[in-house]
Order: sequence, then C-alpha cells, then structure tokens
Amino acid sequence: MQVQRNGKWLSAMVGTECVMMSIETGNYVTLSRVGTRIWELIETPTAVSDLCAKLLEEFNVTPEICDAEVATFLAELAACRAITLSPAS
Amino acid sequence: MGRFLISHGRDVIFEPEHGAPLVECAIYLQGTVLGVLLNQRGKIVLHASAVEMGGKAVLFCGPSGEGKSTMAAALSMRGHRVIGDDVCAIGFDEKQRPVVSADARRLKLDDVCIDAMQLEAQRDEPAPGSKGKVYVNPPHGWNGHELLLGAIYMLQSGPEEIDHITQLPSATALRKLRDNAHRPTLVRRTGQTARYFEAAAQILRHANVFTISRHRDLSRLAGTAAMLEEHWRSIGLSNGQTNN
Repeated sequence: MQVQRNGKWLSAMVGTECVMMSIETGNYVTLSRVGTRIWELIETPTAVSDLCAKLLEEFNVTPEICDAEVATFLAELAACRAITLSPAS
Repeated sequence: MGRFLISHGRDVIFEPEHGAPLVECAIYLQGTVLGVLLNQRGKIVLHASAVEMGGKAVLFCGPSGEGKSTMAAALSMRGHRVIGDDVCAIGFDEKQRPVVSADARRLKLDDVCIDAMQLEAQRDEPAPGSKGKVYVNPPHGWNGHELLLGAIYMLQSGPEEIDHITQLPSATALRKLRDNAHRPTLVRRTGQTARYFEAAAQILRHANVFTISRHRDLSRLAGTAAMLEEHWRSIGLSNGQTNN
C-alpha cells in the first residue's frame, strides 16, 4: 500500500501539537508528536511498509502495534482527505 | 453605493454613486473599508469587542447580535476600560506577541440594554444603519497605547441554566478565529488565508481561546461578568500574569 499527501495544507505548531488546515476544504486536523512525524515522512509518496519500518527505528514500539496504529491513523487522515492510499505500484 | 480605493494602509479615496446616501457610505467606510485598511497594515482584524484587564486586552467575538457590545458595556460598568467595539485590530510586537490597539469607539447598544444597565446618562446620538441602536459612551474607556492580548472569548447563547466557560482545543480555536475575522470572505478572496492562519497560531501561542456559554437574560448579565472576573483570576490575568 502506498500513501500520498492529498491537497494543499497549511500547518503550524501550537504547543506540542501540529494543527493543519486544508486550503481547499477549510477542514482542520490536529496531529500529535508521532502524527507530525508521520506527516513529515510522507512528504513524498511512500510505501506504508517503509513508513512503519522508519517508525520502528525511531520509536519504542512493537511491529504489531506500530502496524495497527499506523493503519488507524492513516484511515483517519484519509477520512479528512489529507492523504490518499493506493495499491503499491 | 460607490467605488473605494484603499492603498498603502493609509489612503482611502471613494466615489459615491449618484444619489447614494452619504450616511450609508460612512457606515461602509467605518466597517469594511477600515477593515481592509487595517489588513493592509498587516493587522489581523476580528469582529470583536475588547476590554482591558490587568493591563491586557480581553476580546469577545461572536456574530452580529450575539452581545459583544453588551458584554463590553457590562464590564465597563464594573470598572473595566473598553478598548474597542466591533472592529478589533491585532498586531504583533517586536517579540511577536499579539497586541491590540484601541479604536476609541463608542459602544452601540439598544434601548433595552441601556435601560437594563442604567446607562441612560451615557447615551449619545443614534447609530446610523444599526437597527435602532444608539451610541453609548462607555463609563470607562481605554485610549492609550497598544495592550498585549490576554484572552479571547467566543460568545454563545442558549438555554443554559448555569453559565460556563470552556477552553477550546487548538484546531477549534484556530477555526473560530478564522470564522470571526471581520470580513472572512474578503480574507479568502484577497489571498490572506495563509497569513491569517499563521497569525491565529501565533495568537494561540500567547493567549488561550475560550467559549463563554450563557443565557441572554439581561438580568443575569452582572452574574456573567462576575464569572468572567473569577475566570481571569483563575488564569492569572487579573494580576498581570499570563503565558505571554
């Protein structure tokens, strides 16, 4: 599975959170520290497996939990139309 | 109504259409045109009233008719100085902290408010184009230098039995600040969305945004004002402390 940012977003750090606003829809999304790191890592289209591998290097988490939480997080971002998920090319 | 040319954050040239009532032009000049001028000066312009508390500015945002001027008047009756009404300009000082300028305006209130708050002695001329409202000189006004921004409240009313104040999470606060721009459509159409977003985030780094939910019964207004004063004490605003 490939993940890709969708649309134009403004972002700003407020405290420990990253708040983003879609220029097209005006929707707002708040990202935690880990969510912000994931957003950085998908600046260019990325395989979800590569994303998880990178997160396993950086955070103290088991592969199973990482895979599950990344899947949940990406589904939320997709619901906000912040990303698109497509089969790996 | 006419054509308006606003340039360099300083000059306004307008050409009324033949027969256009000048009073209508004056209202437009004091509202939309002033807002555009302040935007040209790099300000963030909110649809808000403002009072001074502990040497800082406290803003009240909300749609027309939600009670921004009434809240400012009620607080002025309790000794808080009114900084502005309706058009509130926020800039940033050399440390990038949000600051509010006084607009030296009179409050616009209706007869019911004036009677309820016993402001008859402060009554001035009728406010043109504002549905029967009249200008009221606030009992205490602030015409001094810029003040650091202390807090922003989003006014909302309903059948509340008990008034309450709630701090907004960051994303909601940013959305509310966007929606309470003086002329949100103008902000979008003049390509200032990103500037307003960045500025709203900078505001949020220094001042929290709250909703204040209350019943609109004027007999409860003094109680709401007292609750606000208690809230200011709890967030350290009454003695000049904040997270600035």
